[in-house]
Formats: sequence, C-alpha cells, structure tokens
Amino acid sequence: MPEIIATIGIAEWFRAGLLVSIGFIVAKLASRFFRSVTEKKLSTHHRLLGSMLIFYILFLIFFLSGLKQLGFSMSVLLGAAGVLSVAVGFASQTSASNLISGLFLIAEKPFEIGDVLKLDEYTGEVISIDLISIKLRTFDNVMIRVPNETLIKTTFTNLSRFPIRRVDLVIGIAYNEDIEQARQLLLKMASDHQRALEHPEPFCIVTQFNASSVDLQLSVWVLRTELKDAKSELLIASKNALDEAGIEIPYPHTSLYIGKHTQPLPISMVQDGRGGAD
Amino acid sequence: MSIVARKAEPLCLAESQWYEMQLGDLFFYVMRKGDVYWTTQDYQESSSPALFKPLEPVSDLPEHLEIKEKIYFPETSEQLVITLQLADKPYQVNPAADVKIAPQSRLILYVSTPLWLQVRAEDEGEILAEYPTVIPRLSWVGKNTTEGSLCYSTRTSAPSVFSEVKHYKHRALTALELVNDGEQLITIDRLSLPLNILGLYHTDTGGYWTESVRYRIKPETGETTIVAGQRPPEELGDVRLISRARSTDKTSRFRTAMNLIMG
Repeated sequence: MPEIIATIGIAEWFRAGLLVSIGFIVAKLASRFFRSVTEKKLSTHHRLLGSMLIFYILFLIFFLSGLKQLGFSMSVLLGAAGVLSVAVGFASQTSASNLISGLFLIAEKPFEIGDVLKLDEYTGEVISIDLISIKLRTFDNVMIRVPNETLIKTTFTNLSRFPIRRVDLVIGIAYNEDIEQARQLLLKMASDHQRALEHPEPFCIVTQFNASSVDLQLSVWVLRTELKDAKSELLIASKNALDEAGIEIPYPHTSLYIGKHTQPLPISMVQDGRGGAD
Repeated sequence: MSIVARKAEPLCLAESQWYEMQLGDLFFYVMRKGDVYWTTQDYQESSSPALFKPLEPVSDLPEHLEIKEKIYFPETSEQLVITLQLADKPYQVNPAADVKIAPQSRLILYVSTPLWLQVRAEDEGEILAEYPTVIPRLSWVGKNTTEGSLCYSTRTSAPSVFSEVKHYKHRALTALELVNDGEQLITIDRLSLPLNILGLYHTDTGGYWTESVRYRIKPETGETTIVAGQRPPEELGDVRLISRARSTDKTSRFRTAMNLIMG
C-alpha cells in the first residue's frame, strides 16, 4: 500500500483533493438549497432527512471520483468493501444497530423535530435526528443524546403529537358539601375560561371517596402549547370559585375515637391551683 | 345589485397625539411620532355591551395601558390604513337552538361573526397589525381529537328571516343556505363557517356582510358540498367590497371547506 501511494504524483493528489473539496461544497450547497426550497412544503423532519441524504450521496460520488483519480479501481474497492463490511460489522455492532434502528424510526416516524418527548425521567424537545442518535433539549436547557436503539426498545411518550390536550384536575371537596353544586360550579368556571376549548366540552366526574374528601375530576381540553398555563390558571380559578361559593376543599385530617366511637372525646377544664389572673 | 370596491381612507394623524377607536370589546390606541406609529389595545369584559367609537383624538393613553407595538412606517412609501376583515380561521357557529331541515328542502340562516381590525399598508398591502374586535374562543372541529383543526367558536341566534336580522358595527352577517338533498331529516347543532375564504362587504343600511355560503347535504352518505364565494343577499341592494378573502386559492378554498364540513 505505501508503495502504491508513493507512485501517486502530486498532480493526482491535487486533483483528488480538489474533487473532494468541491464535492463537499457542492453537497453542502445542494442540501441547503433543498432545505430552502422545501421550507414551506415539507416538515422540518423530512427536510432534514432529505438534505442529509443529498449531502451524503453527492459527497460519496465526489469522494469515489477522488479515489479514482488516485488510481484506485472501483471494482477492487467494491470487492474490498464486501470483506471490509464483515470486519466492520463485527467491530461496530452497536453503531450498526443504532443505524438500522434509526432507519426504522425514520420509516415509522413516531416523532419529528420540534416534538416534545418523555423518555424515562427526561422530557425534552427533539432538536436533531441523526443516523446514530437523536438529541433532546430539556426545558432547563440540557442536551440529552439518546441512541436510536434505545428508542426502538423502550416506551416513550410524544407529548406534542396532537394539537390539543386534555387537562385533568383532581379537586377534593368536603364530605358535607353538595357534590352536584360543586360539579356545576367547576363546569361553569371551565366553560367560561378563555383557554378552554368550547369543543370538546369540559366535563366533571366524581372519581373516588378519598380519606378526607370526595374527589372530582375536572377535564378541560386546551391547546397543547398552553397546557401548563391552562392547568395553573384552571387550578387557581377552581379554588377561587369553590371559595366564593363557600365549598370547603379539605386537607387530610384524622379523627380520634376513644372508647365508644359514636361519642365525642370528653374534654374537661381543670384548675391547676398555680395561681392565675385572679 | 352592484358591488363597488371601497378604498380605505389613509390615516392622517397629528404628530404626538393619541387617537382612540372602540369597536366590539376592543379599545385601540394609536399615535404617530415621525415615521413611527405607537399602538396599544385593551379589551372590556365580554359581557359588557358592544362599543363603537370612530378614531378620535384623546388627551392621553389610559394609565393602566402600556405601548405594545411600534410600527416603523415611512410616510414617503405607501399610506397606512385601518380596515376591517373577517377572522383568520373558520368559525364554528352554534345556533341558539338546534335546526332541523326536512328532506328535499332548504333553509337560509343568518349568522353573525366578530370582525377583525387591521392596520395595513394601503388597501391590499402588508398587514402590520391586527386585532379581533372580540377575543375569540377556540374550538376543535373534526372527526375525533386527533384529526381535525382549530377554529373559533361563537353562539348566535341564527334567525332564518331576513327582517329579523340584527346589525352590529363589529360583526359581519353571513347568509348560510342549507340544502337537504337527501330523504332523511337533518339536525344541525353546529356548523363550521370558512370565513378565511370569504370576502367582506358593507352597505349603509345593512351593515357588514360576507359572501354567502351554500351547503348541500346528503344525510344518507354524509356527503356535503359547500359553495362559497357567492354574492351577499340580493335584499341588501348595492354593496361595497371592504376586504377580499384572506385565502384566494379556489382549489384550497373548496378543499378546506370540504374538510371543515366533513371533519
């Protein structure tokens, strides 16, 4: 091999280098052109994939032309590539697995760039989908690299797949309160709320008799992008509405019974004889 | 009936003087400082009666308001105008009572939807700012919660007699013709009105009107055809075109409308 390289003249090296450089520039320009042309026609995800494909194909063509300039025979290269691929395959099992997983993800398209994913304890926005991995940006601005293979194997949640989401609020009211009145009050508040969608309509159901409260679930459909604000505002509005109507939101409390459980705990005032206000 | 395109009057504002305009629930304020227009807006409670006051000078901006936008617009270029326009999304119209249409019959409903105020360069120029005269409520129209689109929602009395129609300065009326082409009764509790593909008109006596819309419905198959872009009702007489439809692509207009109706 060193002998072969030694026989290559400076002119061939120059031509090969020039081809690779031109190839790099042409491939970059072509992929950028593709991205700008398809800006309004394709999704970010498809634009990225298309531009990557264009870049790698064009660059590969120029790279192989450069090798040819250096005297490498394509048939020999292809033959060597067959042998090499077996060796490389063994050596890079994980990368190959990620690569193939990436292709499956591209075909299945469970998310796109800009979507928010929840994966184990992480929640973040997809900022890039690459051949080996995807990159997430968490809301506290931390980048997380997730190998494509992990995404194929594990369950993840796409939080931004659909434009609307349902906010479920669990609100407990005291046992002695009128459940129907509380339900109607919460429904009215939700229907009047500016962030609540008119359709699908909000609904309110009793979910359980809890230790200290009767739990109501108020479900309101809102824009996905307004989910957090809507949840906070609806909780505040619920509290205010119930307070205004004099409906108690109880905190957990414990009842103590001594002896007969139907009788109250006896309390008596005893003078301790240590002087006082008299 | 004749249709005349009305050219909006250019804004002629005194230097450093605040002007106020009220329409629907909207308070709109604008001031010119050289080539820069300062604007801000506020809304009253939606339960209050609708406001109307043309653009007039005011001594100062109300204390609680802050300047929200500064629009740089050189006087040497085009002229700045304030125009009215229909909403940028379709409106889901909820009639106060369900409407039932017998087989092989037709019905015209008159529905009203809030207008939008636009600040733009010339009549057909770039939109520099726009504000709904009533803060719209969003709704979802579609087959289910995963397939569909966002639209605005309004409740309307939807009278079916022209003489019963009420006119408001901040709302535009649409004549909706519903045709039952089938052999079954149709019950309509809400309709999606594709306002973004309709033009806005004005008459001195009849207020603001949009182009009329016809829905042909076959309840047996669920097939619905919508024909938009028809003239406002003949009863109005001469009308002036105030604003063209936001979306003018006829194919997409038809498709959008079909999608909206079919969900």
